[in-house]
Amino acid sequence: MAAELYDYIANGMLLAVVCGGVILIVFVQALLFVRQAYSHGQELGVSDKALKKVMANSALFSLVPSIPILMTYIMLMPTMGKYFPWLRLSVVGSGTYEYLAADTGAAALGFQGMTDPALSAEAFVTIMWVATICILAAPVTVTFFLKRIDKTIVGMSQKNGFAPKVAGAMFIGMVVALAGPKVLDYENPLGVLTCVISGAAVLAIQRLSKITKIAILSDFSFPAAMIFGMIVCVLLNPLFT
Amino acid sequence: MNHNKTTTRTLSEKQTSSIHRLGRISGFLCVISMLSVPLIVTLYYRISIDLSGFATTIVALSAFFVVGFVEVISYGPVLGPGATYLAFITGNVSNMKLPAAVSGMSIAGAEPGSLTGRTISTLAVGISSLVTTGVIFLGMLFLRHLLPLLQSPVLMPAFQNMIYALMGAFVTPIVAKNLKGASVPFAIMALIILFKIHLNHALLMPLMVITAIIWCYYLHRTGLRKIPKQTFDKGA
Repeated sequence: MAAELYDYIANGMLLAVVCGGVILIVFVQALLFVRQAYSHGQELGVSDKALKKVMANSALFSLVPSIPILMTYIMLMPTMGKYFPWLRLSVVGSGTYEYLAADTGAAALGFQGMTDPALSAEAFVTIMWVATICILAAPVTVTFFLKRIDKTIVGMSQKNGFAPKVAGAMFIGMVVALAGPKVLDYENPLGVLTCVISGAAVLAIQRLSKITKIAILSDFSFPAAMIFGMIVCVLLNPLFT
Repeated sequence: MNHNKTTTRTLSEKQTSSIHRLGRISGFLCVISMLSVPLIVTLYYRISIDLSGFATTIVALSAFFVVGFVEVISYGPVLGPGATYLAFITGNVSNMKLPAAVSGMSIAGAEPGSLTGRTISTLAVGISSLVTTGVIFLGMLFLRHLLPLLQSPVLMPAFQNMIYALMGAFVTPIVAKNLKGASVPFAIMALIILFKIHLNHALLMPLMVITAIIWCYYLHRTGLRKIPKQTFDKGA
């Protein structure tokens, strides 16, 4: 009975409508920002051609990384239903976080984990609350404090000496923190090789673009190199299994 | 000359003000709407919450509060305000929004932090958010048809190592342009990995950012490296 109620809530029309409504709000937010940025770009004298090129590159660049998100959706769907994972993976959440939140929540409520078939409606709703609240730190920080943070950043950029260069240094640190664990992950040699190949590919494509003076090569060098790396990964996989 | 500078500053102030207005209003609406999902379900079905389990899980996941705050501080200067508002509502910042923004700025030849850089970054992150939302929606609708592709054993290694391919393509040109600046942070990262020192993201990110600032400051003082200035008022 508990499992039936849980299934009724998790896959019910109410949740579909509410989750769809939130996704629509976020979608409209993105549309408004795109419209605003496009008009700001024009005010700054950036050509329509350049702005459209950025949009096309970003669309292509985002297509491939969206596929693993669908795989996370498949993983979460049997336990969390159709609609809550749809919301969480479209808005703010990430695959790792959602799985961890659901599993930790289920265990804390006395179940074996998120795959426990006896998961109740109470457990499902509690997990929804926990997953929502714990991921809100960043959205709340940007909504209420970004204006102040940005003012500090802009203030620093207008000073002399090292201060304007702090953001550049921070960017380097951030890149190392993000990429270091992947580039140096000696426990996954195929992954490291994939990383090196896509890295070499992006430099080669950009170089080729300079030599041949075909600008489009450079414009799409990021997604092209990423897809090339993934293709080579598939081809090399038999050597690592 | 002075007139141009004043015009650019006025324009930047006008644009920044409208970005923050849109970001704060839409961000507030998004936060409220996100909280409304569990609230509506709880009230409509009259479900009682297990408060003890709720508190235990909140404590167990509290590291995400720190990660969220640290990420805003770290990514904000690079993404710019518009892209930051959007990226932290739509998620997948490090594996999608940041590379999309940096790639967009690279195509437009704009410096991160410059007025144009901030605009291009917002445009790229906005398009990335729309595409991801669309792909997930279509994926949900046509899941049955996509399952053979998503679960194909031949393609599985590519999906499992996608983040490695993405990082290689994203990071290599940046490191190639900043070899000296990235050298010491990368060496420290190598030591952390070699000695299997387990640091979660909330610690690793500020550690690397602080290391890079100290190291770049040293290079700046000794004149060994010119770090690109994040010129806010620069037009392009």
